[in-house]
Amino acid sequence: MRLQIMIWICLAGIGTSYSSDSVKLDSLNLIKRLREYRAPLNRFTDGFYTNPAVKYHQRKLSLTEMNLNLEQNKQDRYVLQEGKGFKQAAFEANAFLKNEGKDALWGTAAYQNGKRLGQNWSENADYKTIYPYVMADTVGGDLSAETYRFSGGYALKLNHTILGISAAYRALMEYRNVDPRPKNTSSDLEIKLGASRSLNNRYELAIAGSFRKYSQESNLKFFSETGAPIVYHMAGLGVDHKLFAGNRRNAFYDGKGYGFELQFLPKDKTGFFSSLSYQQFSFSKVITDPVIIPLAEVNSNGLKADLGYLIRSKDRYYGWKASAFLTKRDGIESKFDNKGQNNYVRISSNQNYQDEQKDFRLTAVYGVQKESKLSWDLSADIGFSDEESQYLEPARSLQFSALSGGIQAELSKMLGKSLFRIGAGGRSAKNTKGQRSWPGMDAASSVYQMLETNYAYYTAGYQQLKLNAGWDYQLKNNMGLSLKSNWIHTSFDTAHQGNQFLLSAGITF
Amino acid sequence: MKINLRALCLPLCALLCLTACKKDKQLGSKEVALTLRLENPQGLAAVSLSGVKITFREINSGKETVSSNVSGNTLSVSLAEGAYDISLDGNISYQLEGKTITGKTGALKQGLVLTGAQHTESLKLFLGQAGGGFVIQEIFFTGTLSPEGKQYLGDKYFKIYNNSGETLYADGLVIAQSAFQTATKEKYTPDVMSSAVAVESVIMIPGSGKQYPVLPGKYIVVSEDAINHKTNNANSIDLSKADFEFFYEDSDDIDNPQVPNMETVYSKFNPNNRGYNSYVLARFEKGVNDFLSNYKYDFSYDFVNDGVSFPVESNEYKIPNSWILDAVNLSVQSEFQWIVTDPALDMGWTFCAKVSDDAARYGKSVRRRVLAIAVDGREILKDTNNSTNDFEAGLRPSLMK
Repeated sequence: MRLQIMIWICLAGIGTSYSSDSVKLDSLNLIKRLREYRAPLNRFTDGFYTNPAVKYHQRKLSLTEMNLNLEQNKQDRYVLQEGKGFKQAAFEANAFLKNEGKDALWGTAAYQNGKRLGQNWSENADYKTIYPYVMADTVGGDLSAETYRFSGGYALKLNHTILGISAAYRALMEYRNVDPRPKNTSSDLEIKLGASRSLNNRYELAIAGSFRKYSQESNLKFFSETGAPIVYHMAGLGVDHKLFAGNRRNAFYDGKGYGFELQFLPKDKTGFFSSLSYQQFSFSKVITDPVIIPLAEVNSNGLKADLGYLIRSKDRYYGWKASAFLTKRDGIESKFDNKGQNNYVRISSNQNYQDEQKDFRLTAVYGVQKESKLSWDLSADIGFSDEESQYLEPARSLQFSALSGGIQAELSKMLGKSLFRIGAGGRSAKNTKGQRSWPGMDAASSVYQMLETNYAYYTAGYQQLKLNAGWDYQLKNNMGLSLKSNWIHTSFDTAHQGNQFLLSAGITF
Repeated sequence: MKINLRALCLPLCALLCLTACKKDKQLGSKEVALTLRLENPQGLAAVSLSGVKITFREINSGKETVSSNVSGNTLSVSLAEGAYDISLDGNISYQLEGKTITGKTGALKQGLVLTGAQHTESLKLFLGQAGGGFVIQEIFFTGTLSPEGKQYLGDKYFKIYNNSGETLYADGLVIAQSAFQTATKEKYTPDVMSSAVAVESVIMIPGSGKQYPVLPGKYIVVSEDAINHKTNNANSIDLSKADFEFFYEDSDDIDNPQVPNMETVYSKFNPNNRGYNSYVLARFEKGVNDFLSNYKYDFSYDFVNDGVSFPVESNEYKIPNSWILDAVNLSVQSEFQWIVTDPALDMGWTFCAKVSDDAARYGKSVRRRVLAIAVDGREILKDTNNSTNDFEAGLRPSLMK
């Protein structure tokens, strides 16, 4: 309830900002502003603007949007711990208010309510954040989920310097009303400070530092009178902590992290773009019932680098971008001496788990954007991704690589008070390497089946078709209506398919 | 523009470094060099060991390391840091009163903590005593569920088997339930486990001494309520033909007058339907009165919860190991912490429930394996004093039709 109140406070803030700038905004044509925000080129450049100081340069114009989204995502091949998809309704309000030469203010408030489908071998939320140290059983099922998200920031221009601050907060509650009955509440807060310095009339050099705080409380209950399945505390690649398998059903995850960013960017989005960021995140997992047992610690380090070049000539633009992403996750697990009932003494710890992910990608874009005539954009990318996981005892390993590429085309046209957009794209991925080793396992065991099911997903190639369409219409008083729909069909093979739908309706001003 | 190019180079160099990243080192564990000295059973001469197999089970990971590399009663092995349960099986030959005797030997050490670079430990061997008399053949301790899914009470039973080639008499046989539980490990003081089993309830087969003969290869059934439970619960068992039942007048209990009642020696006998307690089969050396007079066991322990220690004092009875004919440690698979008998009596454990409140445990029993068929056609049951190996876990009860 408090979070809902916060949403309304944020919305009131957006409204207030709007009214204070209304005179200025009224003078700007909504469709013109929408044209900047809907430009396909943003997909190419937005990734460089994560520093709150350079966010000032991300958009030239102001826009506020409030949307109601309906989403459904379901696929037959998936990581069991993440579920086969989700369906949800979401309300989202976004605002970016630019006061050229002075400052920029932005914010987002969102509420999502839905269901995560078919999640197995994890009774936790946020698998990608806390993997592989989840609490699991062999039953699983759908999970109801509610998410609140707030973010906002401010960038202040002082002569040749821009100072920026931003914060993002997410609160999630996931639960199930039949056995097993997990109740997971997680919160994730990130605060970022940035500064940007103008090097000359074309380029800026910017730095940023961030701090992150994460927590998840997970409580699992069973109401059945006749029994409950074993609850496992997983440790990676299907291994579990044998000493605590059974009925220890409460766990807490406490994480924190920091990051640094460095950007070299053109002020007018023409020329060289480059960005380098480092993220460190660590968390500990503690069993909390009936006694406190510090089970594992995870240290994760991520490095991301992007380098791009964009040329504009009248209405045309073309460019390329090279991206590299590397992350490494170490799992350090404790060993205990069992001194007696609920009396465990930690005797040693060792790094038993390691996971490394890499992704390298080249992207090219070419397009024409005209004020009133037909505009179009064509982008293509090709990349290589690789992941390798190892577990020490028992010795298990998993490695897979894939080449993937895609092409995306989008057309847009202004007709009267309307802005129409349609797009189509295709993507294909081909597995180039797949190796797994989990010797000595019973092939009939459910944990073996889990590993094999996940492996089938990791090593599956796919073909993807994407279609999207959007319509914006300007009403009186510079208000607008917005409709958007996306559909993505994925074909892993003849027996395994996937579909993603998005339907969005909202207002813009 | 010089400045611009230098600034541009920073992310570019980082990008190149990323692509040139070498694979990280392989994972490795901290190893401890363990020297294990095997101590022969006392009082034996010219001891020789053969076929020794030592299993090291790390209790956190469940990883088992098996070694047979024993030289001169010493084994050297490298193990990852951790807490280990160590069990030994093997053959032993020795001289006693001028004769060379061969037999089985075993050893068990629970909760050995290995940290640091090296560790030396001793392991006391004991002589295996193959069961040639009465043994516990089957324990049905889980009970049943009604067709409506409700717990049904009263249909648990024990089968006691004559594993010898001679007629034995069941008169005076004692069944006792352990006071300590296999899923609740505590440091009990004084620790009498090497000489006795602490018991919380004891029942005894009545009789004058030769009133209840049991032929070779035959068994008797000691049941909770010796009635046809199927009339009350279609999922249950007809125990109306049981040989004995345990009956308590002060409880809401059923007495079948056609079936003799067990004598209650100490406390009410109520098998735990999850399998947390262990059971022993024994004979009192000097009768019930001697037992009740001289074998009281006062003990204390510190109950530790979340680092806070609470002293607890309690008292039960203890049955000397020398009186015990057979012992079976039971547990819940995911909850097991220790065995509650001397390993010379039973160095293993068996189970029906995989987890504490496992619904699948109902209607299942543990049953001793058949080792061989004797020339007279009777089954010889396996009794190596290791219930892990000797019993089949979670079977349909043999009396359930």
